[in-house]
Amino acid sequence: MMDQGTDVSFLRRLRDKIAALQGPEATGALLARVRERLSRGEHVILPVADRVPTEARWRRGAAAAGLIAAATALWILWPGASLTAGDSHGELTFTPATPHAGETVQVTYRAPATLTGRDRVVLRVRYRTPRDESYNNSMRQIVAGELTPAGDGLFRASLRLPDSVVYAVFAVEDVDGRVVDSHGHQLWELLVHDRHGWPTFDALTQRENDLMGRNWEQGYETARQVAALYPDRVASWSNLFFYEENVLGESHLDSARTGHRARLRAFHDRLAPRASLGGDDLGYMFWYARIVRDSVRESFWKRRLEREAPASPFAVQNRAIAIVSREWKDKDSVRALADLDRLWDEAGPAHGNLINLGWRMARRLADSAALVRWARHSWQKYPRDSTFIAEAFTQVPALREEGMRLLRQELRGLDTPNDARRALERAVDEQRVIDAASARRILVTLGDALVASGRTSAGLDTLKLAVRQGWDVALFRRVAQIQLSTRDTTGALRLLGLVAADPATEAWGRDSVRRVTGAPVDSAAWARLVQDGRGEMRRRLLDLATRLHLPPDVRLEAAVGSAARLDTLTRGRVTLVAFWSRFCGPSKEELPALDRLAARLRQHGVGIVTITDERVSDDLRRFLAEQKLTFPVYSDAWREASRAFGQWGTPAYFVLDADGVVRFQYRDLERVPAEVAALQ
Amino acid sequence: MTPTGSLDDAALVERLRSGDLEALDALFHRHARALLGVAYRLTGSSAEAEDVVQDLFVGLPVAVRRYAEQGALGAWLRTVTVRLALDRMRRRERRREVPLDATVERTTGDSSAAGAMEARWELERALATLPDALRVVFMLKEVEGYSHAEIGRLLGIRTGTSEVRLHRAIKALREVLGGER
Repeated sequence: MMDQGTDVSFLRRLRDKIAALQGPEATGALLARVRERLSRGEHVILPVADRVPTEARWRRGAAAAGLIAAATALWILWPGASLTAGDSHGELTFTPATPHAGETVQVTYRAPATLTGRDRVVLRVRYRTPRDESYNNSMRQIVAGELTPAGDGLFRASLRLPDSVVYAVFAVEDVDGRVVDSHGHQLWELLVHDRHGWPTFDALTQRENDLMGRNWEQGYETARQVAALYPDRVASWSNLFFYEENVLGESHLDSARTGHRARLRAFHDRLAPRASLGGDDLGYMFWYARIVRDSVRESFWKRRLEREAPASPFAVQNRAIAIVSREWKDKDSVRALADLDRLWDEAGPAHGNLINLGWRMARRLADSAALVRWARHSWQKYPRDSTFIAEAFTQVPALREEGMRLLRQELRGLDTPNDARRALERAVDEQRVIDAASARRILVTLGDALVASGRTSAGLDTLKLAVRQGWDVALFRRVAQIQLSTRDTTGALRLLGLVAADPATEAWGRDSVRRVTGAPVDSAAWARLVQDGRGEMRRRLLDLATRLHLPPDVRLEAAVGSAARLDTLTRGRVTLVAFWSRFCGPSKEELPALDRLAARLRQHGVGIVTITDERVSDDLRRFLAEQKLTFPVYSDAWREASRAFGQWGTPAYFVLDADGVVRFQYRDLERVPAEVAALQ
Repeated sequence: MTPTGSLDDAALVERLRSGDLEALDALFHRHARALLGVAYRLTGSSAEAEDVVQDLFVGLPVAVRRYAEQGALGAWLRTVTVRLALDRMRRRERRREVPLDATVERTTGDSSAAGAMEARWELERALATLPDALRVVFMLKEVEGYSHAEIGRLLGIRTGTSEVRLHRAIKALREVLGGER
């Protein structure tokens, strides 16, 4: 055995020798290869971030996760997990952390202070199978089991993964569902692994689907991981480009697209000679060519897809769109509907867009039999999505009664606790608030349907229930008018007081009321009504407000090459942040209204930041000048703002309080003045 | 225009951000040699080291747009190189490929540098006998100078695991290089 001194000197000599091992020379030829790859538009995503230790996250204290699992996500940013149980965040671990399909997993939970001392806690889960779609709107949440105390503040359970499940996310809560530990809204997750210890392609794809709309940044990181682990699959790259488009922004897209085109060509050269390909390969080749805008290869793969896999999802979507495009030209909606029906008979619920298009065609024709038929198709694919069907039914006289029956059924459903629709992150009380808002919308539709069918009194009673909460000025006005028609002037005046309290309708005064009511109104009484209305508005709106804290270093491009920080633009005053795009029809339409509103709000000391999705350019400046738009424009050139707000569509409006905290989001433009007033 | 060769790293990064590829050339001339050494010592393969550094510089024009490190650029490049090399080794593991240099037959050297070559082969052979998991920790800690905490983050392992692996690597090397004492 060597002594310490020998050890140190051995190491020093070894270190020196190894450090002297030079690698290859940094030759001009190597640099030339770099330049050549760049000129071909090749793109390499560099692993610029560390990952969170796998062992610490999944299996504290266990070493068996091993090198393979560690290397799997070497450069992936995983959600940060708290390693010690805090006041409200516990720690959920699975053994094995890399399970196979259908395997039994031991679950251990270290409870936070809010859940310790219970005789059991509940493990809730959202399971995903390979065919589940993106976003979680139509996903069910279920109770996976109960965790029982195992001493030392730990709870344990054993869980067998259903055979078809490839990805699962979990939360823990008390038996009443009032205290929820959702890992700070990140949830805990399990991915099914293959026999080599790698997360399967399906597991990662379902992770992407689950993160869609929930956390785009992590979705993008997952797409990168899929491309690194499964580079031979077209779907990996097509999905990655989708995320690059959405997450990285225009500043990155041109170079990314060139690299993807080169990759598409390589895939094309490899796959095109093969006589037999699966529907997925054909579909993704078509889709990849389409999104990277290679029209020649897009046509090639479209033809093959529709010839060789006509009932596959992408082919069904194409065929449905072709039918509707033809109808757009020849206006023969009856023939189009018949063709869509035939396509359904052949392919069934292969692609959601077939259902959307069939439903829309049936609505356009107001064909009640077709509406019922396509509603059934929709229920088959999206069993939980029925309010829009019920609403549409109430607008067709022949289906109105059925629509109202469905609406009442929905209301009863909302009144009955049902955990399947409760998101994992949400406590029972939070779900109740959301259910109340849904119930309000349904009550309005039901009330209108009752009035339309001649049952005015029943309709009014229903609408009165709807106006007791929430803030919808148009609805207040409509209900007030119905009340006046039934000679309920007091009730109508109270609602009109709410209307007059909203800054969007501040021009409303006693004269307007007199015109509506047909009688003079005492000025002191009216002033009191409006004053009460303002208090009511503030209370109701703040009940709906959120508290989203933005990261401090969000950059926006003010002009080419010059960055501005969002927090310095918004801090210290209530601010409207508007995302818009001149390439988005609905957003472009609202720009004049946004400009008028911005001018008005500025007079009241409100900050205005509008953010567009393109770079600041002369072309953009010309557009603003032509449209006579004067609001300040910033570019989300690095997509940092989109990421911070977690929003990816336009138009979208956010109202921030003076501390820079997002209080109202995704609201209509018309509601902004009231929301601003509630915060001032 | 200022010649790129006289600019410091921060200025070159700024230029590269604005799409100036001459800045990339300057960064290559300044850092590539050291980075090739890092990649070579980790992968044990000249070809792979070149691939790693090629990838690094191909990805750099886009990556610097998101680069917001406070420290020196050289250290950041080195860490990204380490990550790229580890990533490549992982893929190699999946394909079960062995780096070429490790299988190169010893040839009889007749030059005066034969003795030095002999010693180098001896050392490389010893390093090649270490499993990747141990060699990587040894290289990162003892040669590249990363702390165990940093290695833990790079490899996704706990600090303690890194310490254990280093200990095992040194023990194994001492056994193979017995004559070193």
